[in-house]
Amino acid sequence: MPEILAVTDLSVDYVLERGDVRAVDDVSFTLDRGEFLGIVGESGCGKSTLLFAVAQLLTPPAQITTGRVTFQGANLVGLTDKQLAAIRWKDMSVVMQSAMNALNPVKSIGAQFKDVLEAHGKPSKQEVRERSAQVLRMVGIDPVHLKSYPHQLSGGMRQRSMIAMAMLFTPDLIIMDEPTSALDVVAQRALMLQIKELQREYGFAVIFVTHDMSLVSHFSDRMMVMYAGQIDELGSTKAIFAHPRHPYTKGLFEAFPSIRGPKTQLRGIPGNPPDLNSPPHGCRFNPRCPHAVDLCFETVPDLYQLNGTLVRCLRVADGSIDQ
Amino acid sequence: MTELLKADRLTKHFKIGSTLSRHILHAVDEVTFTVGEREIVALAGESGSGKSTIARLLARIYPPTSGSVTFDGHNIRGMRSRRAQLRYAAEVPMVFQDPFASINPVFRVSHAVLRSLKLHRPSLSAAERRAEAERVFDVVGLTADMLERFPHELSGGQRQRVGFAQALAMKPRLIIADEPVSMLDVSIRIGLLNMMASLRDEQGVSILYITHDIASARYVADRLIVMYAGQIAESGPIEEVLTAPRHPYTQLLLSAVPDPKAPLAQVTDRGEPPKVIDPSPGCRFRWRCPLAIDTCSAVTPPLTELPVNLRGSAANRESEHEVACHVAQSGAEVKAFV
Repeated sequence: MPEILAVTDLSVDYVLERGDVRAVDDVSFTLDRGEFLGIVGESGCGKSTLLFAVAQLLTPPAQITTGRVTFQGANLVGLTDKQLAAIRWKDMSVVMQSAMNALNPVKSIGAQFKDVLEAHGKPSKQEVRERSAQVLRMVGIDPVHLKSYPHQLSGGMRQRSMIAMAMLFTPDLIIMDEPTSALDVVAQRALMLQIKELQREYGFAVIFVTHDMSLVSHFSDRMMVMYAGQIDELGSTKAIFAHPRHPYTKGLFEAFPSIRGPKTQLRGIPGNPPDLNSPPHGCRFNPRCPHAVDLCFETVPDLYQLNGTLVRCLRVADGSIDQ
Repeated sequence: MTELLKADRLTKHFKIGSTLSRHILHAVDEVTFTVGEREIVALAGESGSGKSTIARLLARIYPPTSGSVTFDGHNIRGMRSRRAQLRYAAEVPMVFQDPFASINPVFRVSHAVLRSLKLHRPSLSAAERRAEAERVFDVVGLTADMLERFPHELSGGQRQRVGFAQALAMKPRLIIADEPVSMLDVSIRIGLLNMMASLRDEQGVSILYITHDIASARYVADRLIVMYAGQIAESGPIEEVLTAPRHPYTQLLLSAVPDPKAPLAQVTDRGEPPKVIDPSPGCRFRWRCPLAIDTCSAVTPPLTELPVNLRGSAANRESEHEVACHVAQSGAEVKAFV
């Protein structure tokens, strides 16, 4: 599979009066054509900032301080809005968390689709109508809703029409920021199955950000677990679910009650995520980690490769835990 | 189990539209359920199913359109005196979804707890109030020095614990918790659910746990009530309802819960719960239901107890398993979304 996106040593700082806060710290990953990457983490772990950095949508005070985002062979960091406009919607599109806020409330769905189509080229009225109707049908919405305004659609339909809009030019990469978080479980599953089906048919790659571990389990090829701005674990979804290695990933797995199987007492993860103003010395997870030893407070862990999975844990790397 | 609260044919309708095009939204329709002592009852359903309206009816934020709520043998509409109303508010406090919006940001968190103590337990002296505030903070897993913090100095999980501490200070018997963990991070949620379980086990408090998250409901609750479009679809002991769901909607809901340990059910239901405006009789799930028969569009199925021979093998005979479905009650096997 050819590589479509490569993020290299990417760091994002929020430049504030009381000092810079590093929200994304030295993140590297690649994405192949047609691949589905799930990014999971708690609020404040930097997952949305990372996604905005990849899409070049950061606004001050956030800024990329180091690193490259290579999309289809070209580095996007430092490009002007005009240069980026050439690839937006056409090669890469973004689906935001809240469709209610991302859609324009005073314009019909059809008018918003038209704006996007006219951003690249000069389609005729008929071309606009046909393509808009086509993408709406792809997501299972009757094209009569091109005349509807966002408030006339249900939450699930709004979210699906956002995805339809992202599909107008059949881009190579669609970035999604918690697109299902406002939906009920039934609507959530319908939307996820839809995304997978479209992906199979049109072959675009997906970066999918969520806080819901169990959601990525069925849908992503690879997954990344983020903690305090860094990658904690990155590898194939199957391998991580079968054998989570990082104590934080394990903790997250044990924080989810299940509706099936025996009922067990769960503990969650004690404590709270660190303040990124002053992250802990050594490993950032050490205040909450049940396995932390002196080494973890002294040495900053790297990302270590173990059977194809990357893990940021000194004790997993030296084999003293997780045999 | 001793009955603490009973909602009997509780109904709430809202008028919508202008005077010329008057419509009635049936937010909650003829809902009957009980909450026992030392019991956590989960009220689950999709958004718009009426579960938050029920919370507000129980907390006397709205008056019901019809039906009644009986608490400890007394109809709560009969509470006319300020004393009776205050007492009910203290015995049945509410904990809200958003811990960032439910605590006044300009006061230290002790203010919230001390103020409700002053209002609801006026016999306590200032020192006793202070001691009581420290006690309830300890019960919910906070330290006494956190009383002097401002809300912004606490994490979301800690703030939600303050919400429970405030409720506990009033010596409650039933806490109405409306989505208390849905805004919290997953690693924090379990801690709060464990705390809710210990309130039941150690303080003897009942909780009506309103949630859309069935897995967390299973983790803490004793009984489950599933709402659909303003009505109860199914209710019963939670393990029995989850292992042997008899209402097609419950089956749909359970099949959609993502579970890494189970294969994904390929159900292609794209329906959504209806807004119940000026409804005609009939089952409100019939448009999405693959098993619907003629009766379903003519007669609203009543919520009735399932005959023992139709209940799952794990049935706890002490507690009723009720289903509002013509097909399930007829004895036919219900396999809609499994």
